[in-house]
Amino acid sequence: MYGLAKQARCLTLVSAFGLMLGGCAHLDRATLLEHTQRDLALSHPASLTDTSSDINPLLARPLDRAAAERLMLLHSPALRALIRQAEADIAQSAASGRPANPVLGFTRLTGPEVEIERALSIGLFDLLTWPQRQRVSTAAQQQQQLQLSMTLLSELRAVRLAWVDAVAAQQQLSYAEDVAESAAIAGDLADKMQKAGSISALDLARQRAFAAEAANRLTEARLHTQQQRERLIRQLGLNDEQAASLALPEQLPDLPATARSAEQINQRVKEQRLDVRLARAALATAAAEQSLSLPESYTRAELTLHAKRTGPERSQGWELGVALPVFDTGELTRQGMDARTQAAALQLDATLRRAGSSLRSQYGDYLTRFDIARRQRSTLLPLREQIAHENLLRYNGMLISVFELLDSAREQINTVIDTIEAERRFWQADAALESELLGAPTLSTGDQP
Amino acid sequence: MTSRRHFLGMAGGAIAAATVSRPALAALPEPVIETSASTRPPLHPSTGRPYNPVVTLNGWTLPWRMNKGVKEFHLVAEPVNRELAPGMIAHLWGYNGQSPGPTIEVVEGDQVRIFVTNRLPERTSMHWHGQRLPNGMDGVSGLTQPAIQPGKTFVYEFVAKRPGTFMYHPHADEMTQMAMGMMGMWITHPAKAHPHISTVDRDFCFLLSAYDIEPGSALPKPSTMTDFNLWTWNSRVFPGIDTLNVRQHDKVRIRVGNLTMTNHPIHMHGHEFTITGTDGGPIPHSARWPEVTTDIAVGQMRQLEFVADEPGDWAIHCHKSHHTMNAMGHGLPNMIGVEQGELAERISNLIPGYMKMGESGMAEMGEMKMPLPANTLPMMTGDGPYGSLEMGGMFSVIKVRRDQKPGDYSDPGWYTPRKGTVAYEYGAAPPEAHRAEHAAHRDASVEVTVKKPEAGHGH
Repeated sequence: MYGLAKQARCLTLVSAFGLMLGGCAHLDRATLLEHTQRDLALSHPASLTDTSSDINPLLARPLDRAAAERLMLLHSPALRALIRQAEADIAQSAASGRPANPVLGFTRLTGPEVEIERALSIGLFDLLTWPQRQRVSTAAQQQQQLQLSMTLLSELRAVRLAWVDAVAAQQQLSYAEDVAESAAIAGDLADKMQKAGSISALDLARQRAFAAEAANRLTEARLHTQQQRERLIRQLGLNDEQAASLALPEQLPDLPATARSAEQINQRVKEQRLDVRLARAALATAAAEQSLSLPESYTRAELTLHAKRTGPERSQGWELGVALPVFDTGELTRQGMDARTQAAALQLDATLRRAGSSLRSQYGDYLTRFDIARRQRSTLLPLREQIAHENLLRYNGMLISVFELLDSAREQINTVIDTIEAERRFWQADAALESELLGAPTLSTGDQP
Repeated sequence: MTSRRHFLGMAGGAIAAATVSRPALAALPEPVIETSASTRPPLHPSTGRPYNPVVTLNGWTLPWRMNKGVKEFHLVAEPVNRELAPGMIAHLWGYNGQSPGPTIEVVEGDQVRIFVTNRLPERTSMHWHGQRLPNGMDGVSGLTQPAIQPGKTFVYEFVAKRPGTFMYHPHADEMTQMAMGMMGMWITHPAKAHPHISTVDRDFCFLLSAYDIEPGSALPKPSTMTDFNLWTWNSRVFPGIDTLNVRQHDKVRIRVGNLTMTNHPIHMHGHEFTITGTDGGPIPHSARWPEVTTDIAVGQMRQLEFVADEPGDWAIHCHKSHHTMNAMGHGLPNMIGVEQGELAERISNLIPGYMKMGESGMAEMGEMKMPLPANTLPMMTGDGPYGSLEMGGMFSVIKVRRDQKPGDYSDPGWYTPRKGTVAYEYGAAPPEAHRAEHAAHRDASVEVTVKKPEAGHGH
């Protein structure tokens, strides 16, 4: 008994020690969310860690962009699933940082005498390499946490783009209706002219064809608006009821007075980018795994304490088992780990190099979209208004016909639609730049599905 | 407002000073510049031989100076701002501040010297349309003289041999310069009584010219051939053309020259007139006939004469009805009978400020007075004593009054007719008109059935 009690005490100590170490190394949920939140530079601090899941206040008003982000982060099942998955992966990594549990063997044999044997086995090298295992586990968890940040950043960009597209489509739709109405009026007017005898069959057919084409374009526009709205609804993860009550702002936000300056952009430290940090974490994990794999690859040792009672006789002792590196000297494993570490180092280098160009490219797109949108709104739009006004004056003077007047109105409305389109592309570039600044890999900001 | 401005003091004078030699400069008469488009009273000669002066409609006669028995005039070709009618200024080229240039009045046999200074950005010349003169004075640049370069002054000198009505205009880059308004009248009065030239109480003159000025702009388009949108008398359009105000029983002469690109049937109400002369000279009495409309072809001049014995406000106008309109669209669909109804409302929703027009004709245009493009005259406009006149372009009124004093050319206002001499509305409902039986069935369209030849029908 004495022996076993001593063993049990020993075991308890080992477990407590293990638990303590393991507890220190595990990235718990709160910390995970806190880190991720910091990585994403979220402007609304409560969003990821907020446990109140009441989204009704957000849906009660037209959903602005910040609210859309918040709604997705708080509420989207797909997004919460991503977080849970990350938690699961991290927990697994934390578990792999701990040594295999000691094995308690108990044997009872009956024969001439009852023979009872107890054995406590523990992997000796697991204990010896415990610190290295901890390092691997910590590095892997850190990498997984950064990966989660990266995924969420992609999701954030996706919801921003979806929001911009949905609002723009809805805003454009009312103007598309005006365009179709102007064509419909021209068609109806042509019908009346036919009754009065003042239009040829040719011109009448042209006007009717034009009206029908315009009606088709409007139908397309309606579909497009619906598709964009549904894309946003999917991104937000709304159920049918919530989807039905979703209201969007009537228009895109005003353009900022000035574009973000190049200084503002350059101030961002490249080292802080998520993609760089992720590549660096991958390298750290690879390096740690390499250092661990070195002894493990060819050596395994196990210590077993034995306590045996055969009848009244007691005996105790220990056993040491060592694997001999005869067939597998660990050479290939070492080579593989070495290559993996080098690959991670090169990957980091590539990421660093790509980051500068990618940012410049994204900023160029942003500036161009800003210029075009601003010129569209502050120069083209007033000019089209003036042209429409001058045409009204010309119509008053019987210098142009009502058809030309309608054409002019249509041109003006189309410029409004083009302006919204230019602003949509600006806000897309803005969202993409925002992600790019944090270090998301660049994707095309062109027309998203 | 006629003002004598010293040539050297004017903007651009430096060019003249640099290019005109000193003795020539000393010999130049001061140019007289006109700043208004209103009709000036006749200029009675204070020097030279006497004559009975003309009145240039919305124009003036150029003063001259006598220099050792020679009548000297100074014409300055220059860009001008001409008011076509209140509300519209045209950027034209003209002479001495206006387009057309001032009328030159001389007497048969006068030795005339005309200084022509070019203040245009391009060369010009002066052709004295219809005159007998030495070939080298005919003013065809390249053919009879070198062109007058910008800043230069040329001198023309000849004897005004033939009495009559003439014009002057450039013969260098002629299409552009005439489309820009460069022209003027020339009257050579008879030296003594002439059997075919009568003495008249009032003698009016004007030139027909046409401009194509895009609504909302001010500069004419010189390459237009037929689509002119402003038909003018002395570069004025109704309601900017002054009325021709005469005393009852006056013998009146109206001299009209055509420098547009098309003919103009000039029609006068209330009186018959005869054509007493062309730019070829006076017409013998035996060759005259009475009429109320005379067609004036391109490049022609006609002298109309009549006795204004019927008091009233008598219209005088070109009888091409498009020429009594100002700028209009030529491709407009006819909206008569096209009832817009709720369509008009739908258009208004789309285009605030929209008004339907043309549903019952175009006259409402004259009344509605809706805002137009800047510097553009309404297609039809003008208010008379009985309502909207719905006119534009080549339209004016001869006002014959019993109490118009001799020598008084001022506007006497609208005519007050004697009681019972104005058309009036019939008080009762008009009786039902008798219609022929078939007229009532006009709507039932006659169906024409064409029988197609059928195959297999043996012939």
